[in-house]
Amino acid sequence: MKGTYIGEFEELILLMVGVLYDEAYGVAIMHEIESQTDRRVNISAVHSALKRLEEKGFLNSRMGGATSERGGRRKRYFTLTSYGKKALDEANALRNQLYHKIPKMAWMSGS
Amino acid sequence: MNPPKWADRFLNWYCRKDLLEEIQGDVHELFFYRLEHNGYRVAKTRFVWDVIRFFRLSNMRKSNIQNINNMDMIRSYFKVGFRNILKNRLPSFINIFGLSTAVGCAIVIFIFLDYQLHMDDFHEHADDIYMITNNINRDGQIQTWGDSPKLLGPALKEDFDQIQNIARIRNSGGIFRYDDKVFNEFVQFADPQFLEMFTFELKFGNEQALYDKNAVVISNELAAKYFGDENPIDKQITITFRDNQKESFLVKGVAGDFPKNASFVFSVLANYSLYDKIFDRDSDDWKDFTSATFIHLNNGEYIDGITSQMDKYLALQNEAAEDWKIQSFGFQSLRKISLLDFETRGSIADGGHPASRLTMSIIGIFLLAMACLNYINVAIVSASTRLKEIGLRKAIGGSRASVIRQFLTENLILCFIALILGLLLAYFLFLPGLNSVIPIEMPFHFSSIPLTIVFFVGLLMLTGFLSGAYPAFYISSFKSVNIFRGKERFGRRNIFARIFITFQFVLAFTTIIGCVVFTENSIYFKNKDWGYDQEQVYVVPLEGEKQYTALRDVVEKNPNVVNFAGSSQHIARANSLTVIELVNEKYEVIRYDVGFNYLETMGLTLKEGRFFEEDRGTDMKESIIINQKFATKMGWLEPLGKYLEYDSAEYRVIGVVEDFHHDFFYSNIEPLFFRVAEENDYNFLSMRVMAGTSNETADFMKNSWKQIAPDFPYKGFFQDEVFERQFQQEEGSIKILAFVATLALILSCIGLFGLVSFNITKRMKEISIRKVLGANMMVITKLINNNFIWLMLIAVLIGGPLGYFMMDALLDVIFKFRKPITGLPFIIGGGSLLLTAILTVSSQVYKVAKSNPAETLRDE
Repeated sequence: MKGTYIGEFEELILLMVGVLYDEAYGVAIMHEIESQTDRRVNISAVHSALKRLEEKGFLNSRMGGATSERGGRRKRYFTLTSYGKKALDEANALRNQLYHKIPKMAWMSGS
Repeated sequence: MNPPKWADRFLNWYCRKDLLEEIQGDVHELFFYRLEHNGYRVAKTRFVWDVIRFFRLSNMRKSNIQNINNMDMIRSYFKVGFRNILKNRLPSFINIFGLSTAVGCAIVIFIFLDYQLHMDDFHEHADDIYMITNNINRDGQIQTWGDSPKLLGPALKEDFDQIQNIARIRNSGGIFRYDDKVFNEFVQFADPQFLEMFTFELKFGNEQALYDKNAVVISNELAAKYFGDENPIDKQITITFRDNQKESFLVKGVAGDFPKNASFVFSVLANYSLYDKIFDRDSDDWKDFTSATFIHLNNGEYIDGITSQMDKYLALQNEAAEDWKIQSFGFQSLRKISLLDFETRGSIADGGHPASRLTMSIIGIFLLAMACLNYINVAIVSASTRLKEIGLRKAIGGSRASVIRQFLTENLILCFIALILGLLLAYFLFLPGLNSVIPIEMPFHFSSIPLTIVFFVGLLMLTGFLSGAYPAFYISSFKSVNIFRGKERFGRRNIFARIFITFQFVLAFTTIIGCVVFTENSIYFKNKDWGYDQEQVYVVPLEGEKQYTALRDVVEKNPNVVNFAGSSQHIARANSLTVIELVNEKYEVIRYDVGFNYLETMGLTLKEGRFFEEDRGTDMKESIIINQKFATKMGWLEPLGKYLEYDSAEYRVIGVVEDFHHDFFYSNIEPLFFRVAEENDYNFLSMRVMAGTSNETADFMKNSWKQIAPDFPYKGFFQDEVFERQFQQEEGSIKILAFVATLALILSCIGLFGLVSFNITKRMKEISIRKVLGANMMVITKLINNNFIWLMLIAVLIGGPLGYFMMDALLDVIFKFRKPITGLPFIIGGGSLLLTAILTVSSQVYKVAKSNPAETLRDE
């Protein structure tokens, strides 16, 4: 289990990389998080999370081609590995499984 | 619109090359995105913030740490260094012990110097306060005095806008009484501004307290003495001044404990204007001097402007005081007064003599030098066991620089340990020790934090580098090929080690000589002829009128009192500096006003002429007796019958006494004369008692005093005890010297011990073979000892003359009368040196001699 464990923020990043599919690089991921979840993140946090995930093997990366944008600096694009896809599936499955186990009573007393 | 250049440059500087492109790209993209949406300001600040947030270890360049292998190398340095310390326990102990003792001493000496050089720093306005001094020409010599005309301060305040405040101080004394507690106290009259000008914290009362003419402000110590736990505020006390004038005061202020580095403090302060009234002085008199005048300027730099405009006041003073003409006025900054105290007469500040500071610094440097030399000595020899390690390091690619670095790091660590230990030694041992032999008590305190940091870092670097540099460079110079082939066998003659050891023994020898010389001098003073018969003389200082007559009646009836007399000054206790005139030539001499019989009571020896005689009417008015020095100074071959003028009256010399020590041996015998005093002016009653009845008489006098003058404190003393304080001071310096000498001896013996043990280890095989072939213990002892006895002899030969000249010069500075240096210190010094050295060497040799030669020889 230890190897596949991912934190909440890391899971979010993984999801965003999946969502953006071929366009997933630092700033895009950051903007996606901001627009989808309405939460503010710093670009450096995104970078270090990406780097961590790559080290753990959930992500692959490649350098894009040079464009006229951002002074000709290239972007680093990230894609999910199959291992990363599996980790997302597992996390999702675990969450759903647990969600369905919540007894109906809990909703009653909560209200 | 571009992102701020400096932030971009910062990013370029710290960021790893392989990450730079994507990171910089992202932050730039974000910048332009925000520029569009939020405006330049937001974009700019967010850009900077992003750059800062990217500044984390994982993004940083590794270029400043050359390669990762280096870390392991450093770890290996530490490990090997530590193992090496443990392996050579004895040399390591020698090193750390020696260094930490020396460092401890250096720290204490630093505290001492720091303390003396930063006296009075706690005064908030220290930079703007000056004390007025005056310069007088006496016999062609310029003397600086710390007092000043009492009218000068107020006049200056009137004339100069730059002067914010002035405060005068006038020292006096009085008998302080509260309830049944009666003691003599030092009373000072001060302008009310005194408390505002100086930063003496008040425990009770406020800084305006002295504006009240009935108020006194007392020290905390005095408050505890008289009032105990009571609150002294508004308590009524009385002070009786010299002419039996009793004044009532209310305590309006109590000072907090004074800072330890105050060069002047007070015990009782009263309003300045009272002085003239109580002592009946003319309040408009330029002749009248006050003990000190301080001026507080708006800005300390204005002082030059004021100094150049003093002529006007000089004229006023010179006109008023014909016989005490001031040549010029001077100003001493409050920060300097304790430093200049030694050359300022009658200064109210206390301060050390520069000679003592110099001596202390020299001692500190000596000790540090010795410890470092010791270290070098042992380090070189102990490194001989590490030759293989060095060879290996070099063989697998270590450069000479890296070997040097290794040794220096190791050394710095050792020195750091020594520094910590030294600090502990200084705090728990050396400083309390020093405080117990000097009159002041220094706190473990540093005046400024930056200075302290500089000192400690400097000390660490200095000891670390001084002691480590030579071994490191020397050892690293060997070639590894030679080491492995066994060719490089350094330390065979270790000439340097020998020179260092010799040098240390020279130092030890010199200090032992100093110690013995000072002890000898002190004993010499104790037994020296004071020039009069100081034994069996009992003296009672008088406190008021009529006490003399009352006591005389008692004394006269006491059969134990052989002879007695009153006097207004007293030998070794009080004298008056007096200016006499002789054929229009002025001289400064000492004057004693004494009663008839005084000279006989004190046992002075008459050289020619006669003593005062009561039944001759003329003796009362116009006769004086001089000492031999007086006659010599005036060039009188036949002094009897000569005349001199003093205080506008003529006096005739009727007798000459042999020179005697009127003050301690620090000072010269000065020209002096005795004159007959009125009974009303007597301040002392001296009596010569029969042998064996001293204590009885002292008790008798004390009891009589209680009946005659219950309001006054009793302060009788024996004449042969007047120099007790000076002797104690002497003892203090001897203790310090003894400490230094012991330390020097121990340090050099430790060094010798280390050297010998290594020497023996190296020659173990040789010695074993000699033993097998029949050498006995004597032969072996001689074999080893010979080497070192020679060192001792050289040390003695160098140290002897060196010690002689140094001590001779030092004694000449301190004492005006002293014993010439004899052979004794050299015999004692040399003897103790040889003895300890032989013991040190022999203890090692004994171990070798006892060992079984088979043990050492069997592995070949």
